[in-house]
Amino acid sequence: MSTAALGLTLTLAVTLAAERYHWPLWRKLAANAVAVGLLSGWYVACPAEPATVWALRLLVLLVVLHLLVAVVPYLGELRRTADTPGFWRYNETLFLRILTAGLYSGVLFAGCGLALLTIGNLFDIKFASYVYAHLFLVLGTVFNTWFFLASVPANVATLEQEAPYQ
Amino acid sequence: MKLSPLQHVVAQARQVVRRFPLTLLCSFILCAAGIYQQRLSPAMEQK
Repeated sequence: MSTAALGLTLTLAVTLAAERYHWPLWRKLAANAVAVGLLSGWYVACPAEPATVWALRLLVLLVVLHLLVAVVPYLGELRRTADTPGFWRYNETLFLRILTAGLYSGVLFAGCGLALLTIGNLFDIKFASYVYAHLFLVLGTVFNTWFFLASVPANVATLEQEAPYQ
Repeated sequence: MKLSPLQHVVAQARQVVRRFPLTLLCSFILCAAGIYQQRLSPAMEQK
């Protein structure tokens, strides 16, 4: 589970770097292979019953990888002025979208949960208690990620154009 | 509020699959692992 959580941000960062720096196909595949290798290493090394040290390692890695996603298209700018309008607009887009994704997932969960409850009461159908937990998990992982990824800016260069914040 | 047409939603979903296949795969694995763990917990409690 922790491997997949780390993989979400690591593979996203690799894809964004490949798009931003126009990596050739072989380099893209090599970077993805390295990412999968690192994740496999974590999966093998992480104990089944993680101690506090492993939990802290996971927490630090998750924070670092989230920050990496926020800066990876602008790592090349560090040698110049990293403080470009595009950097802030890119982060604004990601931040607003993650909030929107959370809101949509929550509303969808509430709607589907109410629908299940209504069906259960109307037709006297007994749903297992874990159905709601599964629904929450599906919306919180698959739907939330899919919805968020749909608005990750594809062309970072267009964000550099001067425009007032909305 | 005007909703997006279904074709537009499907096209966007398809574009995400093409752009971020590994990230989506990770989200599916995370979901499956979570469901497995949720199923495991009541089974362990019953034992």
